[in-house]
Amino acid sequence: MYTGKSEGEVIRIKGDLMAGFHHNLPIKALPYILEELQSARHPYLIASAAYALRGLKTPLPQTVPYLLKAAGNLAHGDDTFFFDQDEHTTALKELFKTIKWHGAYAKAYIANVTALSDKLYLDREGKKLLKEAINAINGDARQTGNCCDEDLFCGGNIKPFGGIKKIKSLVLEDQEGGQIKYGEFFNGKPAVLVFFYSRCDNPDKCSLTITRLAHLQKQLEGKAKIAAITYDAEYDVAHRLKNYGLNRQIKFNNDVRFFRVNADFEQLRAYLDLGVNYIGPYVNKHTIELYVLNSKGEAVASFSRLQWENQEVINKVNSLLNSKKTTTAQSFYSILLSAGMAFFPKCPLCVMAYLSAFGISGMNALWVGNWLFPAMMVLFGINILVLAMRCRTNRFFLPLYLSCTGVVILIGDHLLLHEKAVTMAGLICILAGALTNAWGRRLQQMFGFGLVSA
Amino acid sequence: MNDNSNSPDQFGQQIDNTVNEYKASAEKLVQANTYQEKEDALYTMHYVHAEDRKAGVKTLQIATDKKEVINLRVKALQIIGNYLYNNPAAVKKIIGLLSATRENTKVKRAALDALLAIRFASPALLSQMPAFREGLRSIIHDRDPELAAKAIEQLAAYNDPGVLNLLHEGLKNPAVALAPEAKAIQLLGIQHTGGFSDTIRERLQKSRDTDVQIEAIHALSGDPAAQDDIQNILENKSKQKYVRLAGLSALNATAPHKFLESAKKIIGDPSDYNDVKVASLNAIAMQGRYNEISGDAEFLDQVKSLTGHDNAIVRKESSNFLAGHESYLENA
Repeated sequence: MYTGKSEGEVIRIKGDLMAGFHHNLPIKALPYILEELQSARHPYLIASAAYALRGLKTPLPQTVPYLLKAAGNLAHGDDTFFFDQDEHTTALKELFKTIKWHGAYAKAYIANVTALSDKLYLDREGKKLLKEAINAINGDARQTGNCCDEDLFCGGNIKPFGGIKKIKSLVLEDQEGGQIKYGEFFNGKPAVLVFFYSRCDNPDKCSLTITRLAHLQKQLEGKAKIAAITYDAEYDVAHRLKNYGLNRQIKFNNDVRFFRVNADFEQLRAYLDLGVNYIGPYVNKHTIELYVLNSKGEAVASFSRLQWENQEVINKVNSLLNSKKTTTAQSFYSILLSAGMAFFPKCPLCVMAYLSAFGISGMNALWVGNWLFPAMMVLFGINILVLAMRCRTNRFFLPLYLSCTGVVILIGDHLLLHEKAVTMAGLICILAGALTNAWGRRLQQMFGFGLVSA
Repeated sequence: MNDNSNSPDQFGQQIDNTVNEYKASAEKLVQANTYQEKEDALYTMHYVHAEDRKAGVKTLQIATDKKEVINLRVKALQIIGNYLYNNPAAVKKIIGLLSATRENTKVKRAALDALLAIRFASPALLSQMPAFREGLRSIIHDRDPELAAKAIEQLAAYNDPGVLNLLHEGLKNPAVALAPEAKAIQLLGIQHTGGFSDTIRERLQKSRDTDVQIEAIHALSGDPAAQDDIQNILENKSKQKYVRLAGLSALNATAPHKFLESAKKIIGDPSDYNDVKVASLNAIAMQGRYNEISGDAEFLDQVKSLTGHDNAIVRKESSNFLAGHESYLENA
């Protein structure tokens, strides 16, 4: 919607859209409003956002800090606007009206609201409006219940659009002018990826994003790769990327780099559904966005619109690190169990084969033969049952078919045929079932087969 | 001891004298009733102290009284700045002079100057910003061009969309221009996301006015789509020197690789202008880009040949360039 629009038009459109929520603001739209209160500098955006917030059915106490932040952002100058036909207003007036509307819901922040009289330079009318807001908060006897039931946090898991394949071959140029492919850099470790551009004139957006990224870098202590990609590849050449990062305390190394994407940035933009728009080569609108990538470079979580909490990002990175260990362990034990069962002696001949392999007379082992076959059948039954459950979950049934085939062959051989070759065939089928169970997804992706749905 | 130096005692005495002089003048102003008394007091005071309420109120009263003599009102507005700094009520009254109908032009100019003098940091003006912006908007079409120009410039600095759109329309249709073309381009260039680049680029290509071209180059210096136009201007010897120098500066900032291509052509061209050659050498040297020219023997030979140039400045700058290159090689 904003592509090709001037910054003034973008501000006007956004402001008008937000003002439209004044009569009914759904909770889903709340992050968009809070984003403007937290980081916008233009008074029309602040005014519209404050005006829109009064469209909530019930005030939310946790929105008050955003209103207080917005009041501070007005240090760059307020302006007059019209929302209702006959009355002109200003951004500061709208903020005070909305704080007043909160009433008892703002009680937890009464000290911060009162402190506005020192932080902001208010004229007589401003002081009067602030006093009204404070009186409304103190005089409101409503019971507000739990203050933080609604989760306003905007981080969460995401399903990226499109496939990772095209993105992996994207060429990134780093702050030293070196080039590396996306798939090469974002590989082997989880990564934290943010977007910015050096010509951003809003200190609460890109500059703060990179400064906070530097804090995150310290806290992560090398557990994850850190990257920032510029929206403005034409202008943000290598030395600009480097200086921007260094000036904000980023410590560059092999795992911590800033990039520009010279060609095919649109693919990355589409993959992550980036919140950026352009007028010609210039960014005319963008949001704050941080992505957490797994060790294959796939985006698994995003924190957008509002400034993220570092601990939430660290928790996500840690969960990726832990799940990687678990998956590896699960695969190993799964193969071990299946292979063990495949090679477990199922008949006296198998016992003889094993024992003779270690140089012991096979005939001495015959005494175990009476209970061996029933024991094997029980184990096979458990194996088939577990496989069936796993295959059903993954919708990948090849392992089950192979293992069942192997079991049938072995039973038939034991009862009827007594042929070594047939026994071997049965064993091979069971082992193949075990291996395809462990590596099924990769086979599916590589060859596109797997008898996915049965 | 030198006769011109002050001892601490003498310096302290000077300060005391200044304070006493101020107090005497301020007292005179507060007591003044006739034109002569007010004139004497106002013209001896250089400023009204921010904390001097009595003098401040009197000065404000003179400034805002439509029945008062114009030159006294103007003088009052010229000395009231400090008093306005922390006084939002006083600022509001001065803003009122801007938008007052049938207010004398000289008074409006003085009022605007008083407000602009405190615009950077005055908390009082900040608290009155909505009214100030409205006051500025009310005078962008004023019949006094100086008043209108200052208001337009200040609103453009605030990225006021209304004014920027009017300036843009004026570029496309000179009949409705709000400001001279070069000035309009200068003000529109403040906001590169304003969507004005296409129009400014067109003016750069079509206008023969040097000032317009220079302002257009400055405004487009961050626009990748204009880099080729700017490069062509830099390399075009028929263009006026200052236009080419503006192009040099813009290209060097945003497309350093293109600038280097052009700089090499300029320096290697015996018929090109000395000023542009010298500026090109300076630009490469000041950014320490010796690594990019170090392997270019032909270019270095061309610079060496400039050390024997007729022009002393060319000789000096080319020698400095080569010395810098030597130093780079030693440290590399």
